[in-house]
Amino acid sequence: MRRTAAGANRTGLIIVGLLALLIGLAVLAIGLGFAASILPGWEPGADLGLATSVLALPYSALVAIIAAVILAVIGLRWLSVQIPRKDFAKPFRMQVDARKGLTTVTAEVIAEAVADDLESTDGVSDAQVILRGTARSPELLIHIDADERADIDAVVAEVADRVAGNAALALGAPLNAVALEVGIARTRSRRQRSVTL
Amino acid sequence: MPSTLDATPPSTASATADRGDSPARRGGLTIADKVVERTAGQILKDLPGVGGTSSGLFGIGANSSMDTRPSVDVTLSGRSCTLAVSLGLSYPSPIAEVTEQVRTQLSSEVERLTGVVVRQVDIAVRWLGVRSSGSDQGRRSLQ
Repeated sequence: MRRTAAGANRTGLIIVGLLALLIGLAVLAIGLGFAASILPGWEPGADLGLATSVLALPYSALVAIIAAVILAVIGLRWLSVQIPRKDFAKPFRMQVDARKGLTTVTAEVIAEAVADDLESTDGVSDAQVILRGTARSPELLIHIDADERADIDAVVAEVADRVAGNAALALGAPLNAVALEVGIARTRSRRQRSVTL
Repeated sequence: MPSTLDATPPSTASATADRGDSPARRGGLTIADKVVERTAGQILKDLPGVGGTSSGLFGIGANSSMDTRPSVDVTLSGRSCTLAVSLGLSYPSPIAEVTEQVRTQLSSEVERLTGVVVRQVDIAVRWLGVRSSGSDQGRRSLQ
């Protein structure tokens, strides 16, 4: 249920990583003198011509450091995007007239309420919910762990009718989509100690 | 910042003014922002389907229930105020409709009881539930 970076993004990262690795190995080989056996003249102390003259310019070290910092920031930002995330919707604003005041409710609050509602359903031992979309077009992603002896059809029907209906009532808008993932709980995570009739 | 009000009812204001006995001479009524806060909190507590969160020690042991008074923050400006309310609602209920009713009722009751005009009521819904305990009990993180 977590959203991950796109496959193309990962492919790009692999290509850049491989290129950096090859460049690093090449520099290492030149520096240690291994490249001289394959490419005559490519020795550790060899004059690299243009590269040497550029490096000899004033502030070249400062420019190199700034470039390295920029690249590091871009790399870290890219790395952080790779971490799978839940991507809840932004806080919903549900006021009728903003001049009288704002009403805000976060997607996490609604998702927790829906999860509580799900866990009160017969045959559901645990539930996790993510709410995405907007207040006018909400989407629910639901994962439930059903008891292994539960009637799955009945559980699914209950989720589709009652739970989704309650969520739509709370949000004041029909759900644009409801995705349901059902797992089987082999052990009961919580044991009910009392019942209210 | 306290709000200073004219304590004279409108019906008798003209009569006292005629006698030269103006409210300013008889004394003023000063209402502290805490008074408005407490008043608003109590009004909210008495509303059905509205609850609050008790503040634990540094947030530890905080408990949300329908029996707890919702928290209210008041910003006074002259003789009017803006209220920022953090509350919980019973679920399922139409959030927009319920909060609109809360806003209307809270504004009119605060104005009636304190005389301070309520300009805006910002409402943050912190939890939804019918249980008396907190809403994060036994919740596992999503995988």
